[in-house]
Amino acid sequence: MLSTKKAFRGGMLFGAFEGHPAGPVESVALPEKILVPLQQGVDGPVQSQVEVHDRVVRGQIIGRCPADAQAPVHSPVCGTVEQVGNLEGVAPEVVCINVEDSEDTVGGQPLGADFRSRPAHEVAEVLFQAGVASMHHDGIPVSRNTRGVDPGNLDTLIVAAMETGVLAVSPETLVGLRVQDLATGIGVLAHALQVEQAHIAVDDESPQFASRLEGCLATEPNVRIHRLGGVYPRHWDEPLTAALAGRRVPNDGRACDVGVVCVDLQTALAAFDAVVRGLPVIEQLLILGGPGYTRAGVVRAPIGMRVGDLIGPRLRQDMEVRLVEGGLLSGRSLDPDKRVVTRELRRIDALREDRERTLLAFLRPGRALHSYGRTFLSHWRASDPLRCDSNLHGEKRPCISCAACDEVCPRELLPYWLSRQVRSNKAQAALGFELHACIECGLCSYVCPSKIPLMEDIQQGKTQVATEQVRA
Amino acid sequence: MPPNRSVLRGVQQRIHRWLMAARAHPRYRIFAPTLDALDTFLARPGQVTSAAPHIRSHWDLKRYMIIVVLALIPCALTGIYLYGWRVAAVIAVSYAFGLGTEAAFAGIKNESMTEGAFVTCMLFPLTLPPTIPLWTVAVGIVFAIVFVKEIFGGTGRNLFNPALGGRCFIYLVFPQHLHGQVWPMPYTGGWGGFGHWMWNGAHRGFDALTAATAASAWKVAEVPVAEFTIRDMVLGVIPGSIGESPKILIVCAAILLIGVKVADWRLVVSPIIGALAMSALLHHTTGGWAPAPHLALVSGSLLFGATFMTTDPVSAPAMAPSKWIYGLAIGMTAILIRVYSTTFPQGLMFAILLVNPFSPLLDYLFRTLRFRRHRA
Ligand code: SF4
Ligand code: SF4
Repeated sequence: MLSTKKAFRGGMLFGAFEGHPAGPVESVALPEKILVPLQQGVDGPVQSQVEVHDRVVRGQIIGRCPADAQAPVHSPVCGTVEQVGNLEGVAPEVVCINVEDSEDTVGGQPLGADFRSRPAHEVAEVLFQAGVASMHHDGIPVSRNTRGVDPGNLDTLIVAAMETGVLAVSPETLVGLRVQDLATGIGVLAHALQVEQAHIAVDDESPQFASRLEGCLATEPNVRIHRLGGVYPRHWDEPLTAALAGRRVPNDGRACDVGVVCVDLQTALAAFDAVVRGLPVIEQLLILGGPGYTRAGVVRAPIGMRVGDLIGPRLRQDMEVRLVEGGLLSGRSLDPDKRVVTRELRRIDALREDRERTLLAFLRPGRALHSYGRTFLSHWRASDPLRCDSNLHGEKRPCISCAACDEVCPRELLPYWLSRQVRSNKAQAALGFELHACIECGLCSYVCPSKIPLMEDIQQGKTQVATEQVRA
Repeated sequence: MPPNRSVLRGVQQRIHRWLMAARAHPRYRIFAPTLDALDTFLARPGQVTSAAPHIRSHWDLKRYMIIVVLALIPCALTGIYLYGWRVAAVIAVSYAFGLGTEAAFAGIKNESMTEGAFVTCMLFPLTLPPTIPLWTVAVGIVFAIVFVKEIFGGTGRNLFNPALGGRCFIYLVFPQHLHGQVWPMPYTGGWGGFGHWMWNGAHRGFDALTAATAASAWKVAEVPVAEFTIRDMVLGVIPGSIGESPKILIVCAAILLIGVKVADWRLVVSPIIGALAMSALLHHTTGGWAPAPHLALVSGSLLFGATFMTTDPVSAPAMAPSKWIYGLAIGMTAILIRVYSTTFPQGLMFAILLVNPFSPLLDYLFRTLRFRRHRA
């Protein structure tokens, strides 16, 4: 069933920025060495199951929790273990594997397409053993590791088949031809979690994808597809839970606290691979966007591949580039030599580091300049891809109480007020104004014409409150 | 790079070197903010983000303020057309003294100069009568920057609108220059004031020395002055402040400012609604003694104030419901003062200054309400 929901307070619509990632998904050549961290996703560290010089096969479990409370880690390639330990600052515990050119794969016993005939806990166990349960940022509360949630309380599954924000990629690009797999994967998750209903959020801009998915889901009675406007941060857990389940995620809490499990496309596809094909999580789809790449796009990369090896050949040499994981608005910068592909990594954006002192910048007509105010031409007629750089685009100034940050905040907060409280060391007072409701989407800092780092102030306020609580 | 650009770049780099030198020398540090303002005016700073969000909107205060100044320029040009080139001198004096004061304060406090002063220095002269002596302009703008803005802690902290605060000051201290026989009939036809230095008193036969703005003329006569038609008022060929006359340009400016999100539409619409409602009420209850609502709209400074004064984000409240109350209160108070006060026909100025200090209170109220609702 298709429905369209609009109501969404705040947020922001971003157009096409330069370096917009588009399909099809490309494969990458395997590197010589792979460094698999023994802690990935939301789960805690596991213990190595291999010794130096052991031969490992693609899909083999190489790290496991003795109590089986954390999802295991698998080898993404065939090869020989070269080292185990803290290697090159990548992570505290890493298994380094010399890659062999072999496609041998071991996996779990695939349950096949009639997974529904199996009891839910058995399917959940497969998801856990394959590592799918730890893929998304809150994880999937399956029987083995409920992450403090009573699985019996869960009744809704939400799949974000959309992305919003800067350099967002369309679901068509990520899923490609695997629409049926996606639909089945959603069925797998719904069955494993025993939810009453599943909602799928699809971007307004992808009507064809929505109708194809609807066709594949025709036999699923409790799955609804919703077409939502691509306003950032709409695809995040909190707005989706509010819009599709009608519940408010508690401050500082997770969607599963109100009985909702939110996952993204990749998790649903991985659920399909694990349960129907018996493949554990050994690869990731990575979105590479931004002007820093010679070719922006989506790649399929093995877990443990060093980011430097992965993007090195694609990086532009003629500009200074900043690499950011987790989105330009809310993510953090990464060091390509110390970061490897892991279960939770979804995108690496290459941002132009722009220290240029443009002459009379404030007088530019702005055909390619994005802003919250509508004073640039780009708002009035869509034309060139929008510029994507790290410059502040202005001077830091005192707050003029223009209320732009209030207007965009998806949580109905008053960022300027919170920031003022935190800056005058009154973080406790900010609690009364729902400091902890902030989901750290970054929009307030993005729009502020006075260039006040509102989100940083709010994060700092949260830390202050936490340390005060510890001290008390 | 085209030559004019490389010249500009050269100038900018020279200023930047001076700035660095001034920052390094305790003796010259007082000039650093001024040089910094010049430097960043010519070229944006090269500063980059340090944490999320890694990209920022291109919207900044320079863009914000330049749009307001742009919206005011047609009003200023019309001011020159209506009252001669002396108006340009009035504006120039306002800028010279206003920016000078701002630079001095920034130098002493070792803070950046802020862009708001550009708007204040433009707004202030446009609210004055065309016959205003230049020294009064200087006194007013210096007062505006020092006592209305800096004393309160500078940009972002001022309780009152600086331009209006400055105007109010000279209005009270030098009433002879702002009150009574200071409102001449404008030049009209042909090149208008572009062919003159200033209005010379012999123009168009209207006894300018006893005229007042249409708003205060009503006050005196208690009936609409027959000389003015609605058309005259809309086109602005009635006596009035330098920039307030051409209503049609002000409406265009308001549409521009709202369209580009520099002015909040609530702050433009609410004072107008408040004024219309109050004058309709007074018009009917006084049996037509008070001017009709549509006249209240096109005479005096209501439109100018609603477009440029109430929309000043710093002195206005920040929350949507407070904006409504703020604007409605201003519109209603303005009409009340205009109709009933015999000494202060300039209703809008006092209304805005009266309501300004309630902004933080209104925000406090609605902030508390919003978060009480949330918690419940
Ligand atoms: S966007 Fe910036 S200037 Fe505007 S109210 Fe928020 S903090 Fe203040
Ligand atoms: S306050 Fe938090 S939730 Fe609101 S816009 Fe800022 S970062 Fe986003």
